[in-house]
Amino acid sequence: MAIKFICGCGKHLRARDEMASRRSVCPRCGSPVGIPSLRPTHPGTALGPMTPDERRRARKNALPAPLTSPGPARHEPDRIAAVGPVPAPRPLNLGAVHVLSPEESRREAAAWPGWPLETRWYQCLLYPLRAWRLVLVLAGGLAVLTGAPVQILVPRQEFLVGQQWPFLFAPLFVYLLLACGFLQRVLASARAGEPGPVRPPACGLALLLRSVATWLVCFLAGPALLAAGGFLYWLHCGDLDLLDELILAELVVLAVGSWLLLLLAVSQRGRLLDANPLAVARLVGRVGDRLVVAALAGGVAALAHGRLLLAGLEELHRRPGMGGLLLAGCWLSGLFGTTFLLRLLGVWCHRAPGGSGEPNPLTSADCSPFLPEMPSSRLQ
Amino acid sequence: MKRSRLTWYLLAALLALVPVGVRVLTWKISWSQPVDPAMAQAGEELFNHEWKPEDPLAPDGDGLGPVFNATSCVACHQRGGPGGSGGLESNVTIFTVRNNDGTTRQGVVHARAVRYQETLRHVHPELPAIARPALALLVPLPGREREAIPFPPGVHVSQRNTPALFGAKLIDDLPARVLLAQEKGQRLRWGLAPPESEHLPVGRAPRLTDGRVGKFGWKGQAASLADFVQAACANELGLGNPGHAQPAPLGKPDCRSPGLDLTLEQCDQLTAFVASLPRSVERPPETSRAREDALAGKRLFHAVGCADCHTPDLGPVEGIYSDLLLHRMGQELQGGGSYNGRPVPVPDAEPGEGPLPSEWRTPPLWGVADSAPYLHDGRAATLEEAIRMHGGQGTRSARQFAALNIAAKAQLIAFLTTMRAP
Repeated sequence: MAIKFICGCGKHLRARDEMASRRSVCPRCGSPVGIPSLRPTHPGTALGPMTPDERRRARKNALPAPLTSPGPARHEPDRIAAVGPVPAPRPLNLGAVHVLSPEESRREAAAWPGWPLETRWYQCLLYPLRAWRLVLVLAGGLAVLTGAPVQILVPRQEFLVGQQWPFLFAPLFVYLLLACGFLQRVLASARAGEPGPVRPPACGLALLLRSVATWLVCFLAGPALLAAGGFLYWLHCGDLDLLDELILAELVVLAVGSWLLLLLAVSQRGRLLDANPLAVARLVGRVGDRLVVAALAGGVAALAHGRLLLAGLEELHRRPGMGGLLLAGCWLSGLFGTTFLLRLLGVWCHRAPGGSGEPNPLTSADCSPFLPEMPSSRLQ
Repeated sequence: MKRSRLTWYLLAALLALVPVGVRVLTWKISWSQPVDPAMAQAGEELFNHEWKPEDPLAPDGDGLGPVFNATSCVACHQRGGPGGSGGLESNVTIFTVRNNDGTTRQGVVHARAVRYQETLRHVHPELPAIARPALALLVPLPGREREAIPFPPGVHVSQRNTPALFGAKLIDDLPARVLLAQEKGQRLRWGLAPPESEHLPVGRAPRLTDGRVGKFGWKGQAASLADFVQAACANELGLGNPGHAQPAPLGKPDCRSPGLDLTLEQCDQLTAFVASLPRSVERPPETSRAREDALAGKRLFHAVGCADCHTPDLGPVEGIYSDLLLHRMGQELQGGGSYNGRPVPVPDAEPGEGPLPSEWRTPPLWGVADSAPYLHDGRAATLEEAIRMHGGQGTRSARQFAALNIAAKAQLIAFLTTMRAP
């Protein structure tokens, strides 16, 4: 019988009995979740000694009051007394787990009654439209923070010392963090087959950094070479003719396409080690060639947006107004398209045989790479 | 099924590699050809030769003239040794006139002639009948502003100082993509600013009508050393050659030479000699105190922003201190006209193709200590004056130099004076 509970982000989760009182990661938002135990542990188990890490965590997560369920008690006090003293359950992190009351559950299910999981590719276009405010804010911020340094800082770079540069570009990095977190959440949500609202990026800095780390690792796992090669070729090839343009376009499309595929491969089980060609090949084998086609189409779109971005930056020097408009349009269109594409690819992966039907990866034996596995001797 | 899918993927990968393969096969690698010593020696004789009308070395042509600026190459290129720069006395006067019908006329007012002497009056009737005007007549020099003559509308006259030829082979061997990479790098560094920026030091590679990138001349008007030498022979000495016809006198435009004065082999010999000239060197001072000052000056050279355009290294050429790109240097440093290539617009015309009057190729600073006077027409007698006169894209560096204290300025100048002729 599964243990059912809800993560703080609203995702309904379930875990096997043997996962009780353990920690894992929410497949949607990536935050650590504590799996509650609503029943006492099996009789006869003895708590082993805590490791130093567990002692440290227990001290850190210690709560003043035990968990109280709003519903009727599920255990039978007599039954517990008959089997002897029951060890106290592991402290539960209330901040990570929220047990909904029946009323809250009904309200949550009724919130998006007409929003089932997409079955056609064009239905995924509605996903970013529903999040138009969020996309607009992110795109606007990125446009401003991309154009402002070019207009204000770069012409005055002789007045800026080396230590000032990170602080001056910090707002841009923060916005890129948020955009990364948002897109990662879109992908995770689609992979898990979650219909429902588009949520803002997770608020925790650790989660945002984790999203960026995932994207960075996937970029460094292969696309970085293609991107660097393309940049060096563009710099040193002299006048660009049609052949050079073709080579550069190929490099960009391949870099972006492989980046998307690696992100999908990593999102399967949440393991950074899956950022490799074999995992991508397995994924393509399961989902189909359409995955490759869509990823390459994303690369083509990225190429077009890249040209638009460069044109916008150039135009900023001649006509700041027009340059700003180009930048804003580029980021808006780019974020919209990326959200749509990640949603589409995630839903495909979810619906593909072998990759869907298990909306909660917590039912698998895999663990998050960021949380240590509890020693199995603790639970029997 | 899996095998057919793999086959398709492999085919797609092979197809994607076709452009790369074609590029690898067609990639041009420029090899530096060694200079033939025999050719260089013959070229040296030609370089030092005093040309005359009906010269025996030009049996098919008319020899020197009919119009010319000097009687030998070394007469102008002599500071610091044969092949060096020249003083104000060897400046070349260039004019550009915009006619009423919108066409432009441009050329050189030659200082001397065998017959049909040219003067400024041949350019425009309102100009004085002077063959070799002093620079102060054409440019309002500090303290001598009243001497400058007003130009009639649509007329612009400027001068070109004789540049040093040391290290010319190293520049000649530079592939065009090195200059283009420099151009792209500058644009990236300054936030993709366009080359027409008047404030940010973003240069552009000089382009000729045939698409080649220019590397020689004050406007980058010559793509190769051979072109540069042939143009100079024709325009400075009146020696027609296969690359450039000798100019006709301004007062006798129908004057034609009976034949070419120089053969292609003679031009190649001259080119070989110029290519054999050694490059300028950095000579550190003898005392340790002076060496420290020069080193501090080198750091200031970078800090002040001089190195933005006077790049220390360009591709494989070290110590050139130039990016060889065209930069806009402001209204005060305008100079229209060119004696080969397309006409350059007059200062008040709309910019079109070709270098603008305010655009100048960054001159290499190697050997700068021995190549006074400075700037395109030699209006700056000292290095400090030359830095101060930088306008347009050089204004930032000029201002930062002016803001330095006296000791720092002296250190920067001390660094520049370590760059001597060979």
